[in-house]
Amino acid sequence: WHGVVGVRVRPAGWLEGEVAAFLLEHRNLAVRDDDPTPPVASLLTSAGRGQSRGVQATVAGSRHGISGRVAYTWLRARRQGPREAERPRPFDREQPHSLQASLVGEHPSGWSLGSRLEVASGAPRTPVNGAVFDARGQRFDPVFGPQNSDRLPVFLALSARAALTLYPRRSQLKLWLDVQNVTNRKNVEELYYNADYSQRSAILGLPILAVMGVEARL
Amino acid sequence: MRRALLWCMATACLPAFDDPTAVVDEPRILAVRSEPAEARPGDPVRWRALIAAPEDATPDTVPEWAWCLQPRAVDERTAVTAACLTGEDRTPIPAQTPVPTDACARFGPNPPPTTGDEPPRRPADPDPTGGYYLPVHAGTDEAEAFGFVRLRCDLPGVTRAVFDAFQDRYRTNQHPGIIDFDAPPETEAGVAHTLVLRTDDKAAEPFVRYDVDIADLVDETETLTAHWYTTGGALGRSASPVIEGQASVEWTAGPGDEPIQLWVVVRDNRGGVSWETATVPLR
Repeated sequence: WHGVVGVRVRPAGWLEGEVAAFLLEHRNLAVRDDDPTPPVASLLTSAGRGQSRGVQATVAGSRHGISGRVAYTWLRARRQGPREAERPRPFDREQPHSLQASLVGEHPSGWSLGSRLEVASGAPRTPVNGAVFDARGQRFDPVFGPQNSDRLPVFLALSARAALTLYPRRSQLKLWLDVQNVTNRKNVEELYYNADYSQRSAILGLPILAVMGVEARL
Repeated sequence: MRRALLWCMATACLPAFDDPTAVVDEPRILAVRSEPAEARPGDPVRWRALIAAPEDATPDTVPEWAWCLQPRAVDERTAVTAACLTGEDRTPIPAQTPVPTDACARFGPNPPPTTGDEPPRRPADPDPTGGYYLPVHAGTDEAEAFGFVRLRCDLPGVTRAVFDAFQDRYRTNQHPGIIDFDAPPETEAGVAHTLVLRTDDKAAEPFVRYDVDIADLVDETETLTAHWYTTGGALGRSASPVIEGQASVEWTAGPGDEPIQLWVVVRDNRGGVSWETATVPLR
């Protein structure tokens, strides 16, 4: 089941704010059976539980051709396996803090400029505290720490966009330039290890990326 | 430029680590073996470990031994349970010890033990060779590893005729025999050599396994793989198949003053393992 409670206010005609709190209770989630030899075709059982709760606050406004929006979310999502003694752990995609902000300015001449900022906590990951050699398999087996007790670094991305809209002969022509990750930040998307788990490195997201486009409507 | 771009796209720009596991730059346990290679519950086994180390290291050569007596859960992708990996659940044993009498119930085809009013569990599934394995931990102050002894368990859930045929035709696994390990008597940095391992004629043993799909015995022959290790230089590959009693690898000696150590560990796919060592002085 889930529940949502929210309040929306409009202190001025051009400004709007909203706060919403939510709570979700999950039951019978599919999880792996904790038995070493589960019955045939019963690798997954519906014994998982979970809870997600959080608050989202949004402020949006538009005036004199400039519009902006800021949204912040606090989230706490937990999952628990079939073992009663098992402590709830962070959900694999839990991002406790998430902030999105955007600002767009439009000029009657057809020009528009905008930017978008995204900041979010890193997703949980399970730390590797060491490794032991499996002499039969000729590979190292990782010794894991508590599940999902580590996190990827904070994600931050700033994007900018400039567009020019023209109206030649009853048609519409839009030219735009979108630049993603303006700060060229090295956002960590995933972690990986060497063969004996003594070194760790990261798969990074896209570097600064400029995309130019033309859109015509006849 | 175009080739570099294509390579980058194909590999998703994932940089590789420069840490070949075949190079021994610290004390390591490269292999663990039981004698005999396959044992029934209650049979005594003696454990041995191949401890490798760079020339200037003096590793502790007498490991401590411990059973891992709990089978791993299905969500554990490691060879043993997390509790045994971390040392929370190990049962210390001497180097010579009998296989636990309930090994075929814990890790084999017999009904697993239950506690309290727990419902009966399903027995373990065999590996592709029809085998079941009991894990053991070997540890020194500087290195640790897991090894396994293949369990000789009775064939469950088959007709009397198949059971008797299996008892009659199955040959208990033996460790592969090594004739020689051909390494150069001496070398110098940068010089390439071919290392050759020769196994005896009976190293790849024939055996039978029970095939559930046809409800009958199937004749098989072991496959052997040689794993190569060195303290210095570069190996063409870390493992190579043993074909017609021979395996080889290209090895280029590295720089240094100390003699270079070479190890080859040969394994059969039923859990048997043997090894050989060579020391190559640098000119």
